Amino acid sequence: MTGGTIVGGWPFVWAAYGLTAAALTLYGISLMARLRNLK
Amino acid sequence: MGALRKELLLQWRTRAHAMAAFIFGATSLLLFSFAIGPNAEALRTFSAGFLWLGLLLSSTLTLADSFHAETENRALEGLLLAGADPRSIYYGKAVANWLQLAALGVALTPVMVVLYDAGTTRLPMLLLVILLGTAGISAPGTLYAGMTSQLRARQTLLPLLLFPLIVPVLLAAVKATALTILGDPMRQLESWLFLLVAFNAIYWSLCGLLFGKVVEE
Amino acid sequence: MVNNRFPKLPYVLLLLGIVCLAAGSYLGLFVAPPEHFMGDVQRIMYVHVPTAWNAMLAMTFALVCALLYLFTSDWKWDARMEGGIEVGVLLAFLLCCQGAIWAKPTWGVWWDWDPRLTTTAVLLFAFLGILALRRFVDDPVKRAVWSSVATIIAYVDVPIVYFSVKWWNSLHQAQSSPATVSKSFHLPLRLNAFGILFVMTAFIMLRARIASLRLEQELAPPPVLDGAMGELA
Repeated sequence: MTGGTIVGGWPFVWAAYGLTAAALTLYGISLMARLRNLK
Repeated sequence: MGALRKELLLQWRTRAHAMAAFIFGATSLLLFSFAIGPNAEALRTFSAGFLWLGLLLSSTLTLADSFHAETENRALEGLLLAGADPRSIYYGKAVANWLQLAALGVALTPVMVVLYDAGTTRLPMLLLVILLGTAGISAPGTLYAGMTSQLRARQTLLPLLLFPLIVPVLLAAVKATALTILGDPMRQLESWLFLLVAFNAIYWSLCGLLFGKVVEE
Repeated sequence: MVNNRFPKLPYVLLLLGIVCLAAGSYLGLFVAPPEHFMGDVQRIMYVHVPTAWNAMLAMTFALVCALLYLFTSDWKWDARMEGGIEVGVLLAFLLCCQGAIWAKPTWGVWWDWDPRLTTTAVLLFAFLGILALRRFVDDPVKRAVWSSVATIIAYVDVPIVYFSVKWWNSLHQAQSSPATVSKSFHLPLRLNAFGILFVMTAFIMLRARIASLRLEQELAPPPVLDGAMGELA
């Protein structure tokens, strides 16, 4: 690496944030669904 | 001590299993060479990795076998009811497994030498690495074999539980073996041996302690 | 079983967590300046580092529960441990994905064998194995004892794996460790850290509740049959 700046890269940023948000949301929904089934 | 003698006797009686493990290991080494292709330099460079991968795969057979007799006749519960100390059962089995795996490692070495042109004159060092590495596999392996032998999905669960755990052993043993075969200009061998010794020290004590919990009713 | 004194607490924590994450992410994405060399890719760190802290926290929580179960044989620790392990697996998986997404524009490869991330991957597989183990053991006591033992063994391995990968990696590459967050802007980091912490805690509580309810059903005595035709008493 010669010390330049990484230009762009926004798609990666969106991917990281989006994946995190999606995974947490989906897991949360699955938890509530499982809890409802059990009760 | 008595437990160890009993285990070794049992292993001698079922030595066909050891032969099967050897054939499995040797076949794996053969398959690796086909996967790489006739690239002599690549084969030699990665020979240590292949040896230990083959050994690791075969170890699942050996480790599972070591509890086979006990599961067949619920002999483990009988032993414990009769007052046997679970710790001595563990160490007897773990040492027996260790010796069997080490023997397998020694047996597979000539296969490695021939298939990958990976000879070395530093045989005592190679033996030391094999001893330390197989000990590292045997300690947690015996514990998990004891657990999974009582379950339906025993063949899948043992490697599933064991393999992530012994990553350090694999890394260290492969590096140490590779340095022995290919040369060690920067004298790194000692660090890897140290890692193996540390892993063994930790896991031989920890697993011995926990085995009692695993088999108590 | 699991403490149900504040049944609404997980939902409060979830709300709090979502607010913190929204604020932290907003700051990290739109307000924080791009870093000198990393450019905008640096913003991934504002969510990656908090995930890392919380993943380790979840695993450590699982370890504590494992030890407490072995010492007390109280079912609530087994239920909580199951929650900790599953949520820890989720976070570890996210960590590996975020790390790969960060590595591609930075190093040109999806995986750069960074010791911390590689240790996380090994940890991920180890704990997945423990979840698999739990699924295949029918006896609840054995399940609890064995997975506690496995959790302890896996956790003890973490520093060993880290050290061995670090040493192994340093012999091959001269790569420096991933960029740390620029010192001038810690706020989004802290907000996201708390955000994930609250969400994670809520998840573990809910998951422990699920485990607890399942256990109750498992351990419930069979209904008493009394009548001549075997009806319920």
